[in-house]
Amino acid sequence: MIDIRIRCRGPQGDALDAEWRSEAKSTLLTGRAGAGKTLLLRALCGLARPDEGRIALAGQVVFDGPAGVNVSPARRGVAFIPSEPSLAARLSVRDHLTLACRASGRVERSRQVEALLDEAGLIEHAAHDAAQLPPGLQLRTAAARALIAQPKLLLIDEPVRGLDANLIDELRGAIDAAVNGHGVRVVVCARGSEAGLDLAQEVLLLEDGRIARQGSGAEWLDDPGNEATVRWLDRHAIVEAEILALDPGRRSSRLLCQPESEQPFEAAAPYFPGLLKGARIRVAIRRDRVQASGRGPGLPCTLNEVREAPVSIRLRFTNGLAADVTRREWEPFRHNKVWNVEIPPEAVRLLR
Amino acid sequence: MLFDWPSTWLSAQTAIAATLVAFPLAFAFGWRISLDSRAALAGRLLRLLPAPVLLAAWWSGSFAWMFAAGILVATAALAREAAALIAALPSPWFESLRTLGAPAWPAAWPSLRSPLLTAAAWTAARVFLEALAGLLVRGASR
Repeated sequence: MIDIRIRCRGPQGDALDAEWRSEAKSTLLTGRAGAGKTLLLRALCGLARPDEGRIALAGQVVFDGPAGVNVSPARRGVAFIPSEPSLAARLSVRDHLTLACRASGRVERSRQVEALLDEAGLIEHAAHDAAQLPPGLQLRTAAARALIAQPKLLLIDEPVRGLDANLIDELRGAIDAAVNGHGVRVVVCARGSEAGLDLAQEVLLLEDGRIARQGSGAEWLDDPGNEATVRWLDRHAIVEAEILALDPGRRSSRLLCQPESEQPFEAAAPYFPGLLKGARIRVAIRRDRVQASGRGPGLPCTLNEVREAPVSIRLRFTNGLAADVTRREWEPFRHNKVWNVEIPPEAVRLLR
Repeated sequence: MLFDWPSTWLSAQTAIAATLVAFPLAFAFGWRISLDSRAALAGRLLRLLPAPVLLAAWWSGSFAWMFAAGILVATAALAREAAALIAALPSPWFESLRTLGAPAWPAAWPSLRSPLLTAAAWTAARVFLEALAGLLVRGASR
């Protein structure tokens, strides 16, 4: 378990005032640049000393300001993978693992290194200069090096820059190996949500050094809350709407979306308690729940923009709607200008 | 000034022996200097130390004094070089290893090996020339 209550100041003037308790096996720590993500990781592993507070990891107090406890980074059982470059140049993958292996005796060390190289699929790269490998393999090497030291907690700082599908896969693999293969708790720090909210059991949003939100990725997507979170999540289309009808019995409502635009459209939505017919609201429509197809039923929408994401194609339409389709759904209709879109009521969420 | 074989031979022996002894000392000292500000101050003081020992070595002309002076000159020069090279390495390398409880110098060594060996060769040449100059001046003045 992670139990933190700290105040900390970073070298670049960034400040952290965080209170966080977590039983999750994996956590995605997220927020904008300067929100205090890296500072929190550094405080956890002992590379940054908090001004005050207490940090307990798996029942062991590793920092306690008033009691004067500050366990050194090497004795905390917390492995840290910095954003880049974490692997020393001119050192092979095998050398990196050997360096971090704590087993006594040359034979046992060699056995553990070879076993982990095999497990991580790094055997064929074992003799290569680790710092010259592609980013995905570097991440795998850094994770394997961390795991061979048998930590209780693995911290990974911003491993994914941009929308590199291969790197995201490597990150998922590293988390899976740590959590399921070695029973190590993982905290991954990422600025955006491109790595996927399902990457970890728990998602933590840091804003201005404070923990603004904590919950599972599914909870976040289901109830994004405010517009700022929706924009950060980048998984919804934000649409202006007017309530045409409310049916408390069926727990449903009917909306006129984009009423002031040239392409207004109607959509079914859940019931919004406390709101009246005719009220003007803003709703978030979850892209991955919206069904878009080149033919079939639905609202005809003109395609405005197509963006390729790691695992899907993002379609944006001129009326403000957006949908995610798989490559298989996209390919047969890639030349279509007009797509048919269906909006299930559960895809629509009220923005507060 | 005529070529003096015994002085040249003594200077060469001094330069090689002093550089060999100074190299590990300088690496360890340079490592401390790059990490610790108090060690950096000691490093500055170390640069002042060779001068009187070098004068004593020139005056006595013995291998022991020459060797001592050579070690001091070489350690001071190489430690400064090593500290600068270590400080230029990316800090995430060391931070990551620190959390793993792994020694940092084996990770840094492959990147430092070539520039440090070059610096050691230059330092050996410098010690050789300083020793030879002192011995030749001493010989000429007697």
